[in-house]
Amino acid sequence: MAGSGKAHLRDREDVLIRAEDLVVEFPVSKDRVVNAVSGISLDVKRGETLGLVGESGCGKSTTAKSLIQLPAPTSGTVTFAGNDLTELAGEDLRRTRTDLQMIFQDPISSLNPRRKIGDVVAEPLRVWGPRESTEQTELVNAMLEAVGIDPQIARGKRPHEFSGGQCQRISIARALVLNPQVIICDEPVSALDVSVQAQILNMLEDLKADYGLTLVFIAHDLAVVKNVSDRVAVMYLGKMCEVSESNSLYATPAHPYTRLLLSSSPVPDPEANIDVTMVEEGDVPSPIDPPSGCRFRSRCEYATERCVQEEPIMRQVAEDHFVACHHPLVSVPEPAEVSA
Amino acid sequence: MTESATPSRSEALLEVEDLSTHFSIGAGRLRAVDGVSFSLQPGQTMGIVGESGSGKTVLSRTIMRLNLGNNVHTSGRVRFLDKDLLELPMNAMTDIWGQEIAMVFQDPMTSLNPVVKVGRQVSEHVRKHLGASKTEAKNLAVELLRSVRIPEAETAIDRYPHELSGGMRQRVSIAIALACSPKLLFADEPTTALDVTVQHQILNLLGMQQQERSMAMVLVTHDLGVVAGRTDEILVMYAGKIVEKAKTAEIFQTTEHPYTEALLRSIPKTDQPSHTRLAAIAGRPPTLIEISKGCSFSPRCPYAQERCFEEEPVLEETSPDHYTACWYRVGTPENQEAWDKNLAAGRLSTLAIDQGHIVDDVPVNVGSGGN
Repeated sequence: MAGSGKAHLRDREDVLIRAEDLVVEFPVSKDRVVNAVSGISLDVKRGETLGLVGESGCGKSTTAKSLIQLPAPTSGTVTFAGNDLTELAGEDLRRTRTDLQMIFQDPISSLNPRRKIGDVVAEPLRVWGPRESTEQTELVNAMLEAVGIDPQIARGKRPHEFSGGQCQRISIARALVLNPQVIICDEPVSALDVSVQAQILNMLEDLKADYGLTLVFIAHDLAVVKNVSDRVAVMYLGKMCEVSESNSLYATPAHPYTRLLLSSSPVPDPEANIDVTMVEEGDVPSPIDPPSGCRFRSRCEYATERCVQEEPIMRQVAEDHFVACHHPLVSVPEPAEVSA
Repeated sequence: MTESATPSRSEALLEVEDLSTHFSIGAGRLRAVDGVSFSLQPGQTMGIVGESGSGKTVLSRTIMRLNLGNNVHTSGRVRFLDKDLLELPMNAMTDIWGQEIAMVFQDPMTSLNPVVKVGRQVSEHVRKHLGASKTEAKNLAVELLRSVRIPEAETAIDRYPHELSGGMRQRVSIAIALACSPKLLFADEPTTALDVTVQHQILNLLGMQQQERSMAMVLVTHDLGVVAGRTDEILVMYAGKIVEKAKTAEIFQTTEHPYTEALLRSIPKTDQPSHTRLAAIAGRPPTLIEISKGCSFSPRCPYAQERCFEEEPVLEETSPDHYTACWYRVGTPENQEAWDKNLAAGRLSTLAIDQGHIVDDVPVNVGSGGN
């Protein structure tokens, strides 16, 4: 994997967000940079949930943040509803960004501990919403109710009076209050217990249907991603490995890295076959000096000379299933067949 | 659940009887662990599963005598071989730590000393307990780092923890724990901070080392997936108590406690199609400060009846080696009856499981027909 290419991008018409050739680099010293994201292209249709998975450091959060220009990517374009966000600045950018909201991993630290819940949720409205305070209060109440929190009780309380799951729901209410089109969820359930995780995942599905949301959902847990996503993109070291409709990705992973992730993820079934022999493996290489060719080659059992020399390009292996690998685990149809 | 229900076996390596750990805090007495009994045979692996606040970490720390402070009240008995650990003077524990019982902690960054090279951290125990010389200790450190599959162990001993990745650091912690070949290893969420691929390797490594050294292990985790294929027996804890205890295969196949069942059903699985609705558990765990009558899971339980709010169920053997503390065990006709009755009455906790709704606050001590 660790490939480039845009074969997996779809027709422009029904796509709400489209990112092309995103590159995000962070300088570390005079002439060295961290290659956090190196040429990622992705698109999300209106009403779709795109799951982004990968190990820590693979650039999934950076990719999602660069979609809302926080920070703006080093190069590449992000088109949202026909506008190129990388071209916007100042008030235009800020106004457009109200349509793209974000929820974060740690629910407690993402709420200001000194402010009351009512004010936390009303904050976006004070900047962009209706001026009337009664209208603002109504909207805040409606949003808190939508996430299953009683506004009469909660509005005057502060974040420490709520559990982690409730705080996460309050952040969701805050994200929803400006009636956005897209919500970017950055590991929203990783810090929560499984029973609370189930509540939040179910709730996101309900809200998505009720408010017609489009979601970009980042997680490292493959089962969680499958549960919420229509389409899943697997990332490794700043590159895209595999993009697929989610059921097909889990049934027939085409990239060796996807298969590695799937075979490593714990299954709550004592009968499941666990490969207990794998104990050693190289670390993920440094993004300051990533491997040439395919970035996954240093950990890949199928790696050949070609993987060192040439970076794999995204190509189609089945309907809505794309992989960037020289030696995919499924047979690749001839280009003619695909286009036919 | 307060009675000891574990038959004592003479050959047990570790025997815990009616162990309780309470903390005096401003708001009252917090019952973190309340009347826990179990035993562990040599070479066995036990999984302790529960959500945050269920008392699983406090339990393992109490057994290790790591809960210090004058607001800690411990009662019960912990027999390890022929010693009662709770009766031992603190300085006698230093001979047990590392040499007899060792522990691997959750966060490998904070459990290692950041200003000491890993080689010295690994050989520290050996020098102290086995009286090894400096060169012997160094050679042993290299050997240990090799056994936990750290590449280039000879140079790795001269590195500091910050120079290693999270997975490598956790390997170092395991090497430290294994240094004196303990008979029992506590692994407290050893892989929670790690990526899935690294988690898989670390769990395999622990399993291999355990077999090679015929060491017993207690694996504490919140993830039922982690313990599924890797333990002999599982304890499920809720609100400081054991609610179910059985052989690993048994607990997954014939789940008896409603809490275990609810946990299993709330986990998304990769073999389910996308957008499968998950069963959510209503409400939140109890605070552990107020003592409530009845079963501590009853307010959130989909099957709870009058009796559950009044009388606390005892952990009893329902089939050989399967212990459950519940009046209406899953899989019994009474359980089905309770479900139908609660569903018909529109009980919130039952609807939450049935439809996956969020129910935040479930009233405590209301009859099954209530709300």
